[in-house]
Amino acid sequence: MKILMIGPGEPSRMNSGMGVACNHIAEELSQKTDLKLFSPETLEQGSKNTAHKKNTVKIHIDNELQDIQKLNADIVHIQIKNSINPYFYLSQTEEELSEEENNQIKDSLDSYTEGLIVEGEKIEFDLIYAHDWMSISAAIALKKKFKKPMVLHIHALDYDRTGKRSNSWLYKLEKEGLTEADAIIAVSQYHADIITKNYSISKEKIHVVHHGVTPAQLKPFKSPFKEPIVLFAGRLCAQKGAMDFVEAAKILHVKKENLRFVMAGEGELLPALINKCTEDGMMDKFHFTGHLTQSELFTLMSGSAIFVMPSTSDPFGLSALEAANVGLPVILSDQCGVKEVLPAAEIVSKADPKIYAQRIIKLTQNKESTEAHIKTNKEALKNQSWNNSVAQIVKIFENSI
Amino acid sequence: MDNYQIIHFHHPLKLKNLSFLEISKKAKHIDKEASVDAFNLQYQDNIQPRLRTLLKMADTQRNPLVFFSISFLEQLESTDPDMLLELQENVNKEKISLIGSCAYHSFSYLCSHELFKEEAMLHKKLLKKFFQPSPEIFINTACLFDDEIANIVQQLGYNSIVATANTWHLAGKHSGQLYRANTTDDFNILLANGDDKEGFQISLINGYGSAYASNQIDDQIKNDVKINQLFISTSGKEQPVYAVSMPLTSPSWQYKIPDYTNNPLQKALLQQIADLFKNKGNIKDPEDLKVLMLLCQPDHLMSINQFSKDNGYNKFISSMNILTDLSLKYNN
Repeated sequence: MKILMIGPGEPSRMNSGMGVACNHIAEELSQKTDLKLFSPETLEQGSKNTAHKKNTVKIHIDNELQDIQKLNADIVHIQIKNSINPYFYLSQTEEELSEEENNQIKDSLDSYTEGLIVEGEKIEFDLIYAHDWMSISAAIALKKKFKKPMVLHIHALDYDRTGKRSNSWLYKLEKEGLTEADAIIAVSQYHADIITKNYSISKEKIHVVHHGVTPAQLKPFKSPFKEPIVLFAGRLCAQKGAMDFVEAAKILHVKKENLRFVMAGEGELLPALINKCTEDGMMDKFHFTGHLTQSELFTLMSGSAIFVMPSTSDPFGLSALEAANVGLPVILSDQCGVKEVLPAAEIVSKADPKIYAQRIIKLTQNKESTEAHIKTNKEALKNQSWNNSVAQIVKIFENSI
Repeated sequence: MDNYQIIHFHHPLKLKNLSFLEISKKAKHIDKEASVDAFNLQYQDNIQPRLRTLLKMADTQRNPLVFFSISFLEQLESTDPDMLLELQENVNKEKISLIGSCAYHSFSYLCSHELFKEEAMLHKKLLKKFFQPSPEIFINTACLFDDEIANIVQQLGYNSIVATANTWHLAGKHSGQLYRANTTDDFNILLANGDDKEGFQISLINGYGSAYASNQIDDQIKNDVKINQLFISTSGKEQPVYAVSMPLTSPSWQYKIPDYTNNPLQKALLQQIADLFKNKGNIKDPEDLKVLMLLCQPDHLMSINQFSKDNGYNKFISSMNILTDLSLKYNN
């Protein structure tokens, strides 16, 4: 089976969780199918050697599509401005893109799409396998031209980033892609429901394939601190609940709980988070690591005590899966997909920092039940391999051809 | 008309990037190699010619006034010991006058007054390794001045300071005049380098490594009266008081104070340095004290800027990791 995959081939600072997922998927797919991967060229050097690299074609993408600050990883749309903002910089809001910036992004997308189509016309394939919005236009064009089935794998949507159904060109592009696709892969039932409800897509077309996890190869990290580390890993943005993590930390700090807090990742909320920590007198117990590579993150996880993911909406939440795999107890927001594969995770149904704080205390104080929590999740992950996930994907391909 | 000129020579030292995972792994914080490379790269074409100008001014009895930071002297000793010898000879023969300041040309005063005192004390102490005469006059980094600085500098044995004269603040006072400090007796302030171009000026020049806007050494300027004599000649008379409650810097410095202190990253860093210095009263290791001072260097603070995107954030994170590293060392 010849598969044309359009999406990132390797993780980078721009594509984070999706990049990690696509990297694993491409690796496994290249063992099971005749895979050709069309991947955007990135500015980063030193990309990993992966099994599929010889099958990878890099397509140029303009700076507008690579500008982290402008696109907020892969966000192109706006959020509602928060009118109460004591800081001179924008903290929990993103600045609305001007019409000119929007047009630049669209032009860049058109150019990337053209590049994809030109390359796509040079090869034979049985099926198009596209990932997220950047791939949609090219996937549709190739589907129509060569009359091949298209499977669209959705990692994140405009809805997730904005928190609402919008009228943006990006929403419309996603809807077009979801409508044209012969099959859709959602990363969780949580996300499948969002697709059905907010994009009016029939349930029958949507297949849930949870992300897998690989045995963590890490250099164990012995924390230099006496206090246990409570870890957040992900983009420092409103969608990931970054400020809720800091608020929970503040509650625990005021209670003089003996804990350290580490936020691994980067994002536009960093100055606001730092300012908050400084004003709340927490900076001596709070740490920001900046961007970490996958292996550095696993290493950090191995020396941490608890993992917290207070996302406002997370289609999956791969970092939580990885944390559980390393052996951390996890506290998750109810609004995430990964809870479907972590039966023992502490689930917080209301986005209230007080509740996160309570759960952190619970896990630190109840050693036995925390050990049981870790064990149960690890058991559940035994079959959650990328090999199994991709086997499901291949079945979806077979049913689509 | 410019009557005087203080030429500043500084060698900014680079700090290593320290990741969170390297904390407590006995990592070195100062990037000696990169610092040496940076100096050597500039030495032939930029630094040496300026030092030659200085020596020429000394030879022709111009009595140049010079600030050398300790890092500059240490590096010069390594790179061109002969040049250092020549400078030493001229200083020891009083053909070049030294002016006291902060050892690493830092903004430690904007972080912690105690740290500033340490740094100014260090400058005076380490200068003795290189030169016989000791400076009697002080000028802070960027000519930064307020009432409290006068207090601190006097405790260090200085009896006078060069301070910024800005016409908007002077309210009838003039640069080139001598004033008394508001907070302590027997301490003179020479107002200089103001924004009144018609008045008396002491030009503050970037010889190398400083952020004074002008790097043009005027080798014709002759200090007819040695600057410390300028202070002596008018002492004993009733001097008016010059009171400055908030720090002022020279308009000759490239950037304003808020550019170094006002964004959240800079504020957080300065606060943490101050807290660490205050709470860990036993930081006596000179290398560790030096690191705290280097974190306050103007170009380091400037680099921690959210608007420099990735680099600013990374530098901040690394700086905080360094502070955590030091904190854990003294905890243990």
